[in-house]
Amino acid sequence: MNGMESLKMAIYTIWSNKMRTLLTMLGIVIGISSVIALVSVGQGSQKKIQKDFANMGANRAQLYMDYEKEVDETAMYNRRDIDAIRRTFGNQLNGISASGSLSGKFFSGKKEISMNVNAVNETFNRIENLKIAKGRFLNKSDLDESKATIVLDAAFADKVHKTRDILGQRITLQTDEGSTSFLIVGLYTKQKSSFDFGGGNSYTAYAPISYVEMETGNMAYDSVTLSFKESDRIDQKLAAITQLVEKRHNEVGSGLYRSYNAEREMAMMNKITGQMTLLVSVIAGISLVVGGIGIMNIMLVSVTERTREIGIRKAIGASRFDILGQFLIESALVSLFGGLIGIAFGMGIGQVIGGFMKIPPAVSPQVIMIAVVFSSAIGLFFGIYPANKASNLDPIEALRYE
Amino acid sequence: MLRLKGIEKTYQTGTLSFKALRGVDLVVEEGDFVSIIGPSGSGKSTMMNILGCLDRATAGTYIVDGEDVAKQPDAKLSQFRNRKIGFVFQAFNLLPKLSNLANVELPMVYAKVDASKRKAMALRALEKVGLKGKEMNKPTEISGGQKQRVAIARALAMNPGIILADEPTGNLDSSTTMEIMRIFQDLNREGHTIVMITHEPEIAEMTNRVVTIRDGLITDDTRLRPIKAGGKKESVA
Repeated sequence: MNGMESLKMAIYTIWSNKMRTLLTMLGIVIGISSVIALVSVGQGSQKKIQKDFANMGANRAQLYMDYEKEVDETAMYNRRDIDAIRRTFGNQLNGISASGSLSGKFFSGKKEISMNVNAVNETFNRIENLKIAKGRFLNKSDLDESKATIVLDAAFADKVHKTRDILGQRITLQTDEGSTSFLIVGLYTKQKSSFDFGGGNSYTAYAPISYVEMETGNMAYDSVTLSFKESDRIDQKLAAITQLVEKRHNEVGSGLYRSYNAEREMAMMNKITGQMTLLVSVIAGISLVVGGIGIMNIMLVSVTERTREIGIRKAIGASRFDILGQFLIESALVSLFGGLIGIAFGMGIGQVIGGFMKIPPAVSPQVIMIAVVFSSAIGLFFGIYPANKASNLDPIEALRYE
Repeated sequence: MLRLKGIEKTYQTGTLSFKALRGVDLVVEEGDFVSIIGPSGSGKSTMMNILGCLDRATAGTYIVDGEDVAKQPDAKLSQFRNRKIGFVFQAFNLLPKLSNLANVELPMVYAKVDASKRKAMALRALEKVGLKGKEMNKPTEISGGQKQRVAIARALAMNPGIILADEPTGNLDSSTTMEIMRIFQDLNREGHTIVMITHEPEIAEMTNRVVTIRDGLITDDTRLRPIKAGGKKESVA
């Protein structure tokens, strides 16, 4: 008997025992669907995290200080540190900027809108993925001359001014230092990412750090944001930068200056998702083994029930190998069908969970391939014993079986 | 065609052994129609199993078409049953879930005959036993006599050298019995070699040669009619 015939025969047998086949498959369906559901949510969130990191700037890093240590202002980052880093490492960097902040309020009639003014230098738009919608970002002369210029969120202009034609106008903000008037030089738009929380009635604007220092008198910062041109060896580059800062502040011990980068964070998150997936796979593996035992059990019943059929087939010329193949194909098919149903089911569950978690679920073709191969392999493995039993039946005994 | 020499068969159950056949010598010539008759327990079923290559003799030689069965591996015996022997059983032994056509096709499936040729041959075999029009019915939808005709068609499918019939009329009423016996006689006239096991003397009398078996030995061997035709059997293929 050739493969095609065996396949046809197996499908026929499975079809004529629909209910039993369905129940037999259940273990495999549950096993495979839970793996697929969890993997799809896992891969989906991994993809989303990666995308968010990329949006935020994959090569982005931050210098910060050990927050548990008491530090005085002289130990904190200042503009001269930034300049020194730019001189030494400038060719590796897209941008580097300390960021201070100034919280201001804008009054539009009687309505109060809070405005967070980030004090940065002219490289900051290359660190954040800021898109300039109109006008320009802060430039070198703004910084050098400590001009009172400002780049506003385009959404703010849309909401308050109902127009984006506000370049060259002035905006007055109420800050702790009093009232300050800025010249509007540009509007930016920013891509949304899952790291943006809140929002609402608060906007972010950018003003030259030199001007804000002048206004507030604050010249020390606890963190510096930077972005590298190349994503390789970021850890080493950061170590060199930290060393430079340590040297410049040699009155404080080492270990105060720390660095953080998105790449490292992402690797850790990937590791966590990987471990979760592994754990789930182990549990699913157990349920697949249980499902396989279920298949073996039913196949054994089936062999007993079909003893006479096996006898007839042997009498008219079926070899041991033919019978073995017939039962193996049958159990592999049952298991494979179970796997296919499980994949469809699991993707459905993944969609539902993904919908709740606001994560687009993603299943890679490799995972589906593995599920297909694995489920038929389980059927084959657990079919060996019953199939062997069937093929070893004595035709005389089998023909006599009632 | 078939040549048995000193065939013995001993069944061993624990320490008890039972000798079902105690040295049987038998030669069946091509084109003959032989009945083997004997009371139950005489060893005729054992004889049938050995003739049908379902079982091996404990001692003696059995030669089918010049090949010694005892020396063949299991896979070869399957092939013998598939190509050299056509079985007809008392209980019909058709697969109830398959159509009559599919039942007749089954031996050819195992012989790897391709589908279109297989179907054509099966249709011819069914027509030959007078079941044209019942091809797509299932064995559960037809009468006992018709079931036995399907079984005969299946036995003919591979155009085997010998048709082995084990009490083929045992489950049938007397008029159906006559119909089935007439089919066997027709097949024999066309040149098919037939060996039939029965316990009914009137059935045996319709064959060419009656071999009586008792307590595992042949006690009588009577030729009633000469071997007809003599020529090659007509092929169904």
